[in-house]
Amino acid sequence: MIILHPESLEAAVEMKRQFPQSSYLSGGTALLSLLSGKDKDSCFIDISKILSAEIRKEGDGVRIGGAAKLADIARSEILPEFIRKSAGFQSSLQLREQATIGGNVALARFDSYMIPSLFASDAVLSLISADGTRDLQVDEYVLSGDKDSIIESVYIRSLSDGEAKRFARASHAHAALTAAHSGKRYAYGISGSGFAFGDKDSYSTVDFSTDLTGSGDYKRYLASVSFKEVR
Amino acid sequence: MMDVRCTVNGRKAVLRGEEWERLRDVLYRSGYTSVRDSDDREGFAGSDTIIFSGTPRYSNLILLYQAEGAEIITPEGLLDGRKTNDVQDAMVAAGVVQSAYNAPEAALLLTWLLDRKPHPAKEDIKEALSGIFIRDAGYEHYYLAVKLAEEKREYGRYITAVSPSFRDELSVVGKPMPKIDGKALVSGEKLFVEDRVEPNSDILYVLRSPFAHAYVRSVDVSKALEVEGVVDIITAFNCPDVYYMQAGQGNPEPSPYDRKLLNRKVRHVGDRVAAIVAKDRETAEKAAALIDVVYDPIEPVFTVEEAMAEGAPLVHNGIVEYVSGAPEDLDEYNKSADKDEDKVIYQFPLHGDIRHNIAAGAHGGIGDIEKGFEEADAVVDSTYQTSQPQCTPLEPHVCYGRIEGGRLVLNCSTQVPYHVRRIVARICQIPENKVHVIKERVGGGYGSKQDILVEDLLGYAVWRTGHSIYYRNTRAEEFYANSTRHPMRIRVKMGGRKDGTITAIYMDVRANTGPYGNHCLTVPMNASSKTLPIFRVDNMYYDLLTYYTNIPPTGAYQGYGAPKGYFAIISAMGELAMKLGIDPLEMARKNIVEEGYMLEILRGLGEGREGAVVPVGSCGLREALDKGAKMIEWGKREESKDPEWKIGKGFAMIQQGSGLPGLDHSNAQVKLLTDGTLLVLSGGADLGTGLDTLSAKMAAEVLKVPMENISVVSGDTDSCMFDTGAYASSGTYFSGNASLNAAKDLKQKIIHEASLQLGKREDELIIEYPGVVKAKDGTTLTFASLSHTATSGEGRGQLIGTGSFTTPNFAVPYGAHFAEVAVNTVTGEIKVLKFYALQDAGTPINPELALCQMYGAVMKSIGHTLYEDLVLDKSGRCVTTTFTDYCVPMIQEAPEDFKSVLIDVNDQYGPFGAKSISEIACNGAAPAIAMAIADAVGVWIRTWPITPEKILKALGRF
Repeated sequence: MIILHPESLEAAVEMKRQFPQSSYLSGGTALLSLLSGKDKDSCFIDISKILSAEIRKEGDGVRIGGAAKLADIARSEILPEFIRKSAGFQSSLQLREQATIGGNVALARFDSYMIPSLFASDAVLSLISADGTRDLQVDEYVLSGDKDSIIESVYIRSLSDGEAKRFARASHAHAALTAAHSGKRYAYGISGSGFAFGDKDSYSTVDFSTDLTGSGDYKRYLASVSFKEVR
Repeated sequence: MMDVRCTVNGRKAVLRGEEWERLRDVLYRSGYTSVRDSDDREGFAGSDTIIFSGTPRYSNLILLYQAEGAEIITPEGLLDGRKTNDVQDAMVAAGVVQSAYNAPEAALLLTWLLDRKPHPAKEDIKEALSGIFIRDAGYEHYYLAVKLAEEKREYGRYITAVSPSFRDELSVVGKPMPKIDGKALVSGEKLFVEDRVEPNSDILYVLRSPFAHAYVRSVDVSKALEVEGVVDIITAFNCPDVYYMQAGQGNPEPSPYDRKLLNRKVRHVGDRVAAIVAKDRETAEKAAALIDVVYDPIEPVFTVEEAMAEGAPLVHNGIVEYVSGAPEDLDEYNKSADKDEDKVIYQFPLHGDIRHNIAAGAHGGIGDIEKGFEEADAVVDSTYQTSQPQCTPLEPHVCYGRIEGGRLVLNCSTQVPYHVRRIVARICQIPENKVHVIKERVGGGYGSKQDILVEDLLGYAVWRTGHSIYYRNTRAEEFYANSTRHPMRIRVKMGGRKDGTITAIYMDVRANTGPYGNHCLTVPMNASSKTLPIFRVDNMYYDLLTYYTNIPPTGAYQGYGAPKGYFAIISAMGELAMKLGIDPLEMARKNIVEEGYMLEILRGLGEGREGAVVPVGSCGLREALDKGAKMIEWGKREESKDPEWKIGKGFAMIQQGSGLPGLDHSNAQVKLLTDGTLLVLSGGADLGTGLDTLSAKMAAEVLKVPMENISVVSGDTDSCMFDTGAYASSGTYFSGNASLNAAKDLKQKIIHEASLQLGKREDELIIEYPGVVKAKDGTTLTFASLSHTATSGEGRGQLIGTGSFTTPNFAVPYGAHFAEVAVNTVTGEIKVLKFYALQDAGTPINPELALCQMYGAVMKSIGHTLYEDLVLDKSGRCVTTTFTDYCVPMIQEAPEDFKSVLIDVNDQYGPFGAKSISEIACNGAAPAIAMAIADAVGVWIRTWPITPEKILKALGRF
């Protein structure tokens, strides 16, 4: 295993350009989990010390540093309750204290704890890559498949109330569906299938597939009943 | 290599290793051996938890370099010298320190919590323990442990009672008392197999089959043997030609000898193909990649339906032999045997028919079943299907072996040290005196360490090579190459009258034993033999067939067939009650047995032989039902404020056994040491359940000696006498009674010796606390003085009490479990709101441990009822090889209102009236929850696990 220690984000993205197979290491809960024997083939670019973990008010919203731990997000009183609840979907204390919002979003797993609620709160990601900096909405980032940029921070534009839900057989099991909405913005993450962003019925575009978490029909049904009608 | 400077447990430390190494591995290597690994770096089980610069973290997910400048606290940091802290003491007092593989980490988390929140709420404790998997004792008494610690800090003593006490006339039996090894376990002392491994030992690595079913035509290891650091490679072509089976059962075993160490046919994905002895895992993996195996795949079968289909591929099709009781047509039967296959040897008939994939069969009953159904006003006929839950012991299967003085010495995590000795000796073709088995502390057994799953291969490898070798299952291997419950398809037909009388019960059990037949008769038998006898019904019958298939191996797991049988039979009773429009609890009350009732059904329920008819002994069943019904307010309909949720209640009446009368055998000794203290040598295997403490209590009670004057050595085949082992809930009844008999024997010898030393008649002498012989005239003689004289130059010899225990008598525990469940009718979500487990354990010797045993067992069965699922893909490969994928219950899944209650019923046969406690507690959750769901939403789910999806489908939601 090779571990690279850049001293700045600019240096980090340049390293990524040089070693395209490498992975950014922030919290590391996903990257380091279950790796065995293959450790020696991995290359990590450690950005944990050069990324901000701050959570602070900024304008009408809140800016969350990419290295902010899910535990800190769950505890933060300046964030909407449903975003805090999403961070708490990681039900292990030890993992909440290690996993970062940047890592959770960058992995873009369909059962991501944070992506649906970030979309619902109209979040914007500030990205840095070898090509420079840019801002992207959460759904645009996820759909782009970008693995070269670093999520420097997440800006929550809307602090309105919302709802976040996670449907899993048990607290530590994989989720069949993670969903969130705030106002008219809805997002769904469906295990083994994909994301849907948009209005309440946006899930209907997803090709629901069967996996350990349940059948496609079950997940489609769950998506359809996740939220009560908004009157 | 790098040196990382940090602080460990308040002291400056330098941790040396590679930058990329896991901190856990470095800490363990540096001597912080309490930091263990249960999940191969998954980041789940929490056995690797440390406090890392103020926050709890999994040390497996921290790379060494990240520890630079960190402040690290490991469980060793809780100690003051050898003194445990107040949280550790409270955990021991509360009874949660049992198998304890990650109890030190739990102590660390709770200490961290209390440092921040001196008076934490329940939710705070839940959060602190949210990332630690407790499999043995449940979570409930952890809340109690925190309360005790708070009380000690505030008042200097415990105020809350940890459990009820029993038997005022006894001094230690029936009283909560710290487990004698509790402090050592919660401290993280070096008590497990992995702590015995000497530096530079080799490792054993197993190359496994990618096919579920295939002939192994050849295994070319020539290139692999050339890899530097490889010591030896064992295959089917050079292993002993010795047939055996892996079940730890009394000899002759009711399981076919259907395997060798490695076989010329693989029968499940993950089956052994080659065993590589090498200097380290990296070398072994390199060698494994160079082994050339030629497989000839065969179509597999995975379900009983596939196995019993006409023309199904046969999992075993070799020559069948019998040690005794061979059928007359055996030669004819063997004419169709496959010459490429190995034999299947039965010790005695199990009514198998391997040419139809049948490993074993049985049937039996009483009365006239058809007449019984004709008399019924209603009949239900339902089929239930259970799954393949895995024990998930936190300490995976491990073994360490070496040669010492020409003998094979094995350090084992086992429930059956003497069966290990016998079977390993058989495989190595050496006499038993050449094998020494040392049972170390077991970090979770739950039945899976009743099977000899790693000791066989490891033992032979050590004997063959002469090297010291260590083997440890990966967590993934625990799932696909270990042992699980037998999946069972159980049809129950039950008839009843309008007044609630059950007129007939029929059970048709089809069990799936997987590739090998360990426990193929006895586990499925329990589905009927531990269920039917609870009913006072004149017409009962069962049929049983166990099939070989190519799923991952099955074996023993706590409950041992009864959880499945109860799921089926109580669900059927509930369905029948619903059909008749009567209360299932009233139906239960009308049809359960009571003390003195003659159990005619037992005649047909022996394990491979006719069973003995006996009356029901001590029985707290009715009291458990009545008390539980009152606690849960049975009959009162609960309403949720949210109309989406519906609440229902269910129950199950249950029983188990206490060991195997007529089969089990235990021995013990109690030695009087020269200073008057005692050493108990118990053949029993303490799995963390407190058997050693129980043995000590036997001695303390009989000999009136303080507990701190008694030490226990157990499960060492050299120093302790034979014991069949810790399974079938035999510990208390058999091993405990043997220790009791040994104590009584020593008492007699002490009295006799004292009479000679004092010149008094024996009938003038009594024993008083603390270990003093007292004569009627007031003369006293301490045990110390007596022993000193007895072992002097003119002494008559050291006093040793010896006791054994066998019995034809049954000490059957009974109980009732009640569940209140909420079901969301829109999402299918299920919440267990309340669970009350009421059981009679006779006199609970260690009541606080007994309660925690109940909590732990109930959590396991809530697990298999609602969450756990071992899933195979179409090729038979297990795809749920992590805790997350497999879906174990954590603290968040524990019922919000969870109570265990001990019904006070004294047994006539158990030591001081005790019966078993923990296996029975696995039997109630599945049927109680299924009934509660039916009560809530009107649907019966008849397959495990009961999931939201299944409920929604049954409700017609999609």
